[in-house]
Amino acid sequence: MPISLVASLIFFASAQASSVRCNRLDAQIRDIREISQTYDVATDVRLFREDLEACGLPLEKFITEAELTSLLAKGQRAELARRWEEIGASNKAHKRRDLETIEDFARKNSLATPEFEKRLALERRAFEDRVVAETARLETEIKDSCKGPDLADKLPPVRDQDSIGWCYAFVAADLLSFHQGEEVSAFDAALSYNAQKYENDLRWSAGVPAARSTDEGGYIGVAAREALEKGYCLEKDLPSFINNGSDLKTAVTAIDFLAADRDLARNTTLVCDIHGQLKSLFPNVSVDEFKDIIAKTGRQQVLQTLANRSCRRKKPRPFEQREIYYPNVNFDLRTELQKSLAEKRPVGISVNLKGILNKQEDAHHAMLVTGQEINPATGECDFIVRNSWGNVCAPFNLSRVRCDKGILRIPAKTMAEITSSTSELVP
Amino acid sequence: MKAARLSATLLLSPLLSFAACLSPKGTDLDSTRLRAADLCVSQKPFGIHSRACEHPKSCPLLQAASGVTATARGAVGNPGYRLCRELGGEAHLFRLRLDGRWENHTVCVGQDGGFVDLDRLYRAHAGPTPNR
Repeated sequence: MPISLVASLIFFASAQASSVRCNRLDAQIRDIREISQTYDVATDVRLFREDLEACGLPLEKFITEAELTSLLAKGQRAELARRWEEIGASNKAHKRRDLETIEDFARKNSLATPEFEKRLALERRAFEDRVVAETARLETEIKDSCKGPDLADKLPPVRDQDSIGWCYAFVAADLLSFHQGEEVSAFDAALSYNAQKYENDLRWSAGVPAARSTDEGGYIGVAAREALEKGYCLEKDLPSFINNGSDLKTAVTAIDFLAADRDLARNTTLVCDIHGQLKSLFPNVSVDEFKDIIAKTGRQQVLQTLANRSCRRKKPRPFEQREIYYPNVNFDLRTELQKSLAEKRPVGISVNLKGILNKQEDAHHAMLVTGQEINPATGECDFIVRNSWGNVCAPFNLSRVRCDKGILRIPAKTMAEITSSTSELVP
Repeated sequence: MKAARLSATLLLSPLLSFAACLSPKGTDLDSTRLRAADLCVSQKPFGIHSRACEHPKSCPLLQAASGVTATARGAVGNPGYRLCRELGGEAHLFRLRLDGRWENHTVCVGQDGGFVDLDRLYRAHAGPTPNR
């Protein structure tokens, strides 16, 4: 396209636009007269004056200078009145900002009269008083809701999971112990959990080594549900700790190893020796029964079989296992925990301890919430949380949590940071 | 002289916690290894240890723990158990009735027979603590 034609087109378009602009000046003045009844018209007046100059037309053709100035002042007063009205209706979240905005507007437009300053001060004081009152009300509400007995009084002493990753089973056992009113074996809870794992594992049915009794890590709710289906053992019949200088993990691994090797399993002296060392784990299993089970039971079933021989399984009272995952748009963790505690139910929690240990590393763990209390130092509501590390407190960051003999006191805010799910048994 | 020495020790050693050794009479202890006569209980912070381990300098287990750094850590379960084994000790869980309540406690028993609870052992070791 020739340059001259392009230039002509541009000139023509510009001329058209200019013509439209100049033809709208009457309409602009009409708009300014109307809008000034409610809003500040400073911008509209500025644009009008720019258009007027661009069109080369005199102001007096449309409006007098005096009237335009009067409309400007009218608009500012109307704007101020409208903003005061909006402040009256605005919610707490915006009020502070709205007061700052109106002060800004008034000072910029020389509208900050003594009456204005007086009203601003009154509004500010009223707002701050409301904030103080509401904060006090919320604090009272928190204090009033943060009470109740510590349900741990109905539980056996704080347990020790030793060095095996069966925290979920210890929590499930505690939940069942509370529900049943007697001490349930955590060792059994872990064995039942692992048994269901390899029952559901296709690799096992294909003969491929799959999940094992010694597997670590699991879910509280699943462990509790297994007890509902298979029954549970009491701690006195299947203790969850071994006191021969060894540890639980070494003990179960030794049995697993023995069961895996048929030649070793036939070595009577070795089997008797191991029975002697592990007698405290299966107090009701005689050496002959032990030898028999080791010799004749498949590797995947040997620990479960020993457990079944050691205890008479009991069926728990019916319950519904309830689980909530966080964060959650429908549930607030603090509210839900308080509700459960008020209904006399302890709550299992899955957590990442990273935020409350001295060492900053991911540490997925399970614990049990048994109560709540006001922290006398902070005035905040702390949840009472039962760990399964005996009375060990040293690993915890004591500037974030309180700890005494293995029982933690964790602020509600911190609980929300570290908790990913809750699990409870509802009768 | 003895009282003066004790007072001086208390003044000079802010880390020394008040320890009361349990007497065999009136103490309920459920343990296959420990005797009530050997137990000392300290408050603030709470701890259980043998008489010899009342002072770190006379306790080989605590001496050994102070030389262990965080790089040796990293375990699942109770972090104190692994530390105990690394120091050549054996963890022993027992039940003790204190103030009318039965409690579970775990101590690390050193090769010399001296013992301290896992929490105190953990506090004695150098560096940050492990996870799980």
